[in-house]
Parts: sequence; structure tokens; C-alpha cells
Amino acid sequence: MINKKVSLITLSVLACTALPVAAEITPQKMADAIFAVIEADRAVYAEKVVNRLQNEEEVITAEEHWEDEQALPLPAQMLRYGAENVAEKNLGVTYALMSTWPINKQNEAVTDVEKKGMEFIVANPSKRFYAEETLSGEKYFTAVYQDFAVSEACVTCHNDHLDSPRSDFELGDVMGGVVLRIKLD
Amino acid sequence: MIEKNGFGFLHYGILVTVVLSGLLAYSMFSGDRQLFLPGKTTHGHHQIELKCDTCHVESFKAGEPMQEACLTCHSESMEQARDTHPKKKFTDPRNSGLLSNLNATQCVTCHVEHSPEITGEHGVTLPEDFCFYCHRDIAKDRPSHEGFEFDSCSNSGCHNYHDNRALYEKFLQKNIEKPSILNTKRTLIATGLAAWKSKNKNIEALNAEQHDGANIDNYLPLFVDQWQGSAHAQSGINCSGCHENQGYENQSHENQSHENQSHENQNRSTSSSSLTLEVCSECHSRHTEGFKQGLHGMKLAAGMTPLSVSEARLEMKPDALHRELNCGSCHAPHRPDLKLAAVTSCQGCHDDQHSNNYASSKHATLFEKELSGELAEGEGVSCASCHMPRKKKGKLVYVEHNQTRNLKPNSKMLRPVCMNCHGLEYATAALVDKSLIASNFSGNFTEQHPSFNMIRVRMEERRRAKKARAAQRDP
Repeated sequence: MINKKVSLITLSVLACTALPVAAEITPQKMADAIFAVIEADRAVYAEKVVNRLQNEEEVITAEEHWEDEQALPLPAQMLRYGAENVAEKNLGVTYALMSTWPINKQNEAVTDVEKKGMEFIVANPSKRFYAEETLSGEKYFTAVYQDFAVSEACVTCHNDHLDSPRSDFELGDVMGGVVLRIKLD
Repeated sequence: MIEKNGFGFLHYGILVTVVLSGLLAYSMFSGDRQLFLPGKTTHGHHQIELKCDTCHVESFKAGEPMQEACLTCHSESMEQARDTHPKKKFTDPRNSGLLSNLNATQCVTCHVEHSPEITGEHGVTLPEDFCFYCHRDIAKDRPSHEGFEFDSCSNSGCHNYHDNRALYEKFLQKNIEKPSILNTKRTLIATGLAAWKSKNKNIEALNAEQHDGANIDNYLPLFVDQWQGSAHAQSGINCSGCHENQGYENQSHENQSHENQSHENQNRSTSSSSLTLEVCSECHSRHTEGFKQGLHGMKLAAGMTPLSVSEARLEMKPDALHRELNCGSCHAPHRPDLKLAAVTSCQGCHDDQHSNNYASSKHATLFEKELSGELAEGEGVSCASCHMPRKKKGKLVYVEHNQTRNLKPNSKMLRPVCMNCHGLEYATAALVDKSLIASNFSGNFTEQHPSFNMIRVRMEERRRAKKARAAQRDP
């Protein structure tokens, strides 16, 4: 009888351990995955659309004021428009382009974590920055990724713009960062 | 407190409460609801003020439901204006600090209703200092703005919270030195009819003998005389296309699409005196939708009866007060009369200085010359040229029927209207001169605008900086 009980308990324990454990994804993995999509979409747009049509086939240009110029939006604008669309969905995920040397001062690092993150990614171009922060009573996982000068157009515009605080950008430089936030429950 | 007959204070109180409740209930459900208006509404909303649930969609709850109600009517205008401060720019948590000063995600933060004492000339309430909260340090980046008052940002010729299409630097650079009157002065020419004809080459124009309206109520041969030269007859649209006509179903009209709208099965029960927006929208949906978004058609959009001229807050001609606003109020569908809908109809109702001075204006002279053939199409300027401008979408040019879209602030008129014929600075200077607007742009005015000197200084700085950087890179 005792043996029977033991074997039942053993079976129950085995059955429990055999059950799949609920899969979890860490905020960092989630942030990295989302950023991979953002980065890939932007690279594809810059290379397969803008670079091809503007520089190789020379059929259309990419301009900041693309609606008036009947041109393509700049890759950085595509990223911003995507970020705005995601923000509208209210999913608890937001991202934005920012810089230590922004043309528009509204795009400089605002929160303490953003400021630390920007300093870190500029000083460590191959490392990413992760932190948690509380904004308006809500807790967020915040990641900051490098935004590199991917095309000559980025470099020329930022170097020549009267409002740009820096005029010595070169291709491949860290021009700014993408800050990505995930709201923590 | 109970009196001898048993009817005391409590009973009087209950009686008064019941009577008052009855009155309020009657006002709400059967009356005109005036008792519930907490204050005079703005000129943009007064037509629908008694249809409370247009804005107060959820039992008078503010917040998101009301925000959604604002956007139901105004989101398209915001989109077309390329709104520079849309809600989606402020929902990122990194902007929570800014939002704690000014909640830019809600229209009602700045635009409050039922508050006539603080409603400004643009027909909305607007805090004087709203720019200050986020842009107080602007002089650090723009030294030219040093010392500017915090309430001076949004004057005409400078900034607009939503619509800055005529302000960005490249645009200014392109347009700042243009002459007062351009050599290429001409408004766009509407292409809808031509586009429809090219897509419907098999549709033949109809002549007077082919009309099918003899049995329509109030039929007059005069209508057929007018119709036979109209765009409708040219497009093969017979009387039955709009009116009740038993013979209509026997006609074969294949591919009768005018602006991609089907004309088939249009055996509606309408008489000539009751042509409504619905009838016209079968083929002219782009125009009727625009009409419903403007002050002329907003009551219809809200499911109410058409706007009566007597309800208008602007000055109207006494003999027009009985009229109602519908397509037929401005257009004569039988008659191909360009002047009617572009000038005559407007002047039939509007009785303000600007409207009454049109006839003696230079714009009117040009329009008369266009009508007489002395000038080409588009070289004249009618009321509609400015207030219902032609709009280009792809290859299609059509008439914007939302006459409110570019009305206030009037700087919204610069790009779609004024700059067809005038230089940017000249037009901007004209639009800030209220007496010039009242005279319908007759008379002298200061043709320069002070903010353009700031722009010139800025352009010069740009040129120098670019030159210096080029020299630095390639000494």
C-alpha cells in the first residue's frame, strides 16, 4: 500500500515536472528584438528604396519636406513615423530617435536615464545601454541603441545645418541613439 | 411645519422639484435644450450646440470620448494641415514632463467650449502662453527671438500650433524674394469633368430632344433649355438621373460613373424643389463630403436639418434669412453658370463689408474679364477662388467645398490660395491688415512684413555658415 502511495506521488511529481514551464521573455530580449526590426526596416528602406532610387537610378530624391517636393521621406523620418504609429496603438512600447547634437532641440536626451544612456553609447559604440526608470509614476525598462551615420545624406545635412551643434560627422559615426521603452507591469 | 390642511414645506419642496424636473426633462427630450447650455458656444459649434451628444458622446464625460468626438470632425483638417503638434508626438513617456505643464494630447486643454468671455477672434479659446511651456528657451537657439513676448508667437505671419506649412526654412528660402504679383498668376483649373470624359468615352452628350423629364413635378421647358448645355447633359446625365422619373429604368447607361460613382438605378423619389445632398453625393461625393465638413454643411453632417441662413452669426442679407443651405442653394444644376456658384450665390446671403466690397475690387474686375473671355480661365478671382480653392490630388484638380478649411487663422490661405498669384511676403502682409480685408483688398497697404527681415537675416547666416564649412573642408 505504502509502495503504491509512493509510486503515485512519484508519478505526480514526474507529471508536474514534465509540464511545460510558462515561457518568459525578459524586457531586454524583447527590447533587442523590437530594435532589430526597427533597425532592419530602416536599413532596408535606406538601401533598397532611398539609395536605389535616389543615387543609383536617379529617379526621385529623398527630402525632409517630401510632400512639397514630391520626394521620398528620409530614413530617419520613416523611423519617426513608425514610432508615432506604434505610440498611437498604446501597447506600452515606445521608441524615439534622439541625439546629443540634435538639430531640433526637442530631440535631445530628456530624462536622466536617456542622458546616461547617450553618454554610454557614444563612449562605447559597440555596447548597448539598459536601465529601468520611473516616469510619471510608471515604471519602464529603457534601452538605448546607437544610431549610426548610414548614408552620406545624413552626414551632409547634419554637418551643414545652421542649427546643428556639430559639423564634423563622418560616415559610420554615432550620430545619436534610439531610446526604446517597455512599460513594466 | 405641517399646516392644518396637511400641505407643508416638504410637500411644496417636492412639488417644486417635480415641476422643475418636468421642465428640464421636457427641455432635454422634447424642447430645444437651451436650458442646458452652460454658455454661448463658439461660432464653429453654435449650429450643433443643441445636439449635445455630438461632443458629449458619453453622458457628459470629458477625456477620451470627447477627444474622439473632436477628432471625428477635425482629424482630416489636422492631417491636411500636416499638424505639427499631433497627439501621437506627445504620448511617448519621455514627454511626460512637458505634458505635466500642458496636456497637449487633449484638444480641450486649449480649446474650451461655452466660454465666450475667453473665446478669441479665430473662434476658439486659446491660452496666450501655451507656446511658452515648451519653447521658453527659444532665444538660445534663435537669438533673433530674444525679448519677444510669450504671447506673440502665433500672430499671422509667424507660427501656428497646428499648421506651419508656409513656415519652414526651405519653403521660405524658395519664396521670400518673389514679386508682389507673379507673372504666372493663375488658379488651378478643375479637371473632374475632363477626367470623367476621358474614362467614359462611350457616353454621349444628350440634347434637348433626349430629355426624360416631362413628367417631373414643376417641369418647365426652360429647365431643359438650361440643362442641354450643362455639364450634366454633356456627361449623359438625364433628368431622371437626379429627379423622380418612371422612364429612367428603361434607359441603358452602361459605365455611367462620374468621378467613379455609379449613376445606375437612380430612380429616386425627388422633385426639383427637394434635391438634397444625398442625391448629389451619388456622383459628387468628394464635394459633398467637403461641404459637410464646413460651416455650410455641418448640421447635415450631424444628422440635423440643413443650416438656415437665419441661424448664421455672420451678417446676412435680410431677404436671404429664409434660405437653407444645400447643394441647390449655391448651384443651379440645370444651368452651366460659372459666376452663380462662384460669386452670385455667396453674395446672395453674405452681407459683411468684405463681401459687399468684392464687386469694386481688383479681384472682381479680373473675374469679369475672365468671364468675358478677355482673360484665360483661372486668371480671374471669385469668392470661390479664395474660399473654395481648387485642390490638386494626383492628376485630379477639384473644388474644395469645405469653405471653412482655410478661413481661420487666415494664414492658412497663403499656400493654397494667395501664392497662386502673389509673393509670400506681400500676401502675408495683406492678410494681417484687417482694414484691407474689410475693403476686399482695395487700397494701399504696407507690403512688407517685419518677420520677413528676420528670415532674411537667418538666410544670410545660413549662406555664410555653409560657405565657411565648405572652406573648412576644402581650404
